[in-house]
Amino acid sequence: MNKTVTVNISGFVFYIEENAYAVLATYLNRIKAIFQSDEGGDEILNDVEARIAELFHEKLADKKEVITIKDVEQVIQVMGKPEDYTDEPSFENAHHSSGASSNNYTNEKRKIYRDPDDKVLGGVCSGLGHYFDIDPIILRIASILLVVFAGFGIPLYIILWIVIPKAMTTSEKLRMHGEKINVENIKKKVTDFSNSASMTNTNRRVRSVIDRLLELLGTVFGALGRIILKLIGVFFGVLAIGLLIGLVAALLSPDSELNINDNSFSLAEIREMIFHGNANFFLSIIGVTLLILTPIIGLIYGAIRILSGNRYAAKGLGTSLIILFIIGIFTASTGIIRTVHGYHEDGMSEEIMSSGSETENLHVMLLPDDEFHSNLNLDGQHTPYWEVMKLTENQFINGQGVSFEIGDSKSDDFKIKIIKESQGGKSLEAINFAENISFYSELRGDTLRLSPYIRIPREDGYRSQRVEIVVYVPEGKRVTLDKNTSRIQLNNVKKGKSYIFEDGYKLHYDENYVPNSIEMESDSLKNYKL
Amino acid sequence: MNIENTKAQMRKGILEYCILSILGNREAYPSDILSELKESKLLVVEGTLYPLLTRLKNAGLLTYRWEESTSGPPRKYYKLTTVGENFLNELTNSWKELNKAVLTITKKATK
Repeated sequence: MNKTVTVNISGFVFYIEENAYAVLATYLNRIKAIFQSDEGGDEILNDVEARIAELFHEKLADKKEVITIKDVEQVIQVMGKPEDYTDEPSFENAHHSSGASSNNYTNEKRKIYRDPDDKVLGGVCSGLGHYFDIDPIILRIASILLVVFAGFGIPLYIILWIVIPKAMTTSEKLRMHGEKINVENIKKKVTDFSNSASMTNTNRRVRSVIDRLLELLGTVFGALGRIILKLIGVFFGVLAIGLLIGLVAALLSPDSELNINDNSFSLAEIREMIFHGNANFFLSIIGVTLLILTPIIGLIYGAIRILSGNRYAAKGLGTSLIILFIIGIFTASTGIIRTVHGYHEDGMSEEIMSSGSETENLHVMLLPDDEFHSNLNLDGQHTPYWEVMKLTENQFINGQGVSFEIGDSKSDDFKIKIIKESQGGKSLEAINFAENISFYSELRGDTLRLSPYIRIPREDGYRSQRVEIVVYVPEGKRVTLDKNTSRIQLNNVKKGKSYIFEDGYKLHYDENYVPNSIEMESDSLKNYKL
Repeated sequence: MNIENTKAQMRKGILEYCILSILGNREAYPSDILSELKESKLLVVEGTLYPLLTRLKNAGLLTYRWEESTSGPPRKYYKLTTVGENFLNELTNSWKELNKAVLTITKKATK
């Protein structure tokens, strides 16, 4: 026979033998002793008691009414010895907090991170503080001094802000403090974090008015930064839309005229004349399109991301855009290089005419221009190309392809050399193109008549075909240029004096003059004596 | 060196992770957690669990609600908080790394 007592465990009443009660009470007291210093110790005890009550309930299910010492021992076996309750490794049971922390500070190399949990602006100072083991407040004061007394404080801070990564994960935070990364420390860190309100109260008391002021500034700057960011986003968006509209307008009409003029060229004509083959043209166009489109898409994407606060961040889009842009560079440059290659060889064909030795004064004039405006006031450089270029069904007419030069003749007659020149991909091709140029010139008596333009077969395309006329003047004889020759290019006016045309058009060169002097016969005429 | 002690330490180290993992899938009350842990022989005695749960809860990783029970006192049903979920993810990562590291080292050692 045993004496029983009644106990209330977790609100449930149990009959328990006296000696069993003694064991149970001791057990619970020991557990209580272990956890009394812990925060939430009571709660742990309540949980344990509730579980014990539950276990007792199970024991009493089979018609038993009293808890015996055997039951209690079984329960204790299930629950474990009081020493087993604590989750710290047993050898540092007693002083787990201090023991653990000294142990956990070794061996881990510290890394610099910005501390998001202790920040005024970007957490740069606190991060540096952790790294160098300096109170961040000292660094903050130093930063303010830098800003106030030396100009580079702000840029320095911003650079550090950008360069130093933010400690995002708990392991980074541990590394920032130079603590070992293990479960224990991570847990501690997270516990710290959740308790930070209470834990940092000493810290907060240390935080001075300056600190609060900085915090306020941080908020203001943050808000300003966000506004500026949004403005950048809007700017990106507007820029992108503007570019896109322009591009669409240009692309929707590929044959649209580039210039509003009778003689202007369509894109298709330029493709035919300049690119010599669709492959080069399309490579160039695709490349250039990529080069234009990808930045626009990038701008739009940037705008969307900024304005949506990063909500629509498409993974890999940025990379794809960069790759497309690079492809664009390659395609465009391939197309352009291949096109330019079609120009890299030089070819020419020559023809020489000679006047009789009785000619004293050679008169040079241009034939009437039946292709372009006959009295174009041309100075070669400043005339829009479409004023002097024209594409007919099978010819390309270029009013800028003629140039004129004066040289010395060794004999006593005038020699006139007509040089046709062209570029081409190969030497033979270039020569062929040069020979295909048709240029009209006639020397009749004392007069040299020149066509003001050259004609090129349309299928040859534009290969920089040109004609140069060189008039070699014997010593003591003169060449007279008609007024209308002012529209063709005079090439060797480089050394000499003043050239005055009939209409007063004047070119002046200061340099030393060459053997056969060019001098003006009268001020009304444009005669040159050589 | 006591082999049992070393083993216990190994177990204790990963106990929290396992508890969080169990709660990562569902809400559970201590006995559920216990039965799972016991099944995989991670936990020898039940007492260890309660202080752990309380600590994790105080750390903000867990939260609980009361539910009446037909067989005994009301039960605490635990589940993860958002902080707890992040914490669990973090642990999962470091566990994977650890596991890999240990495997590499032990494989090398046994070769």
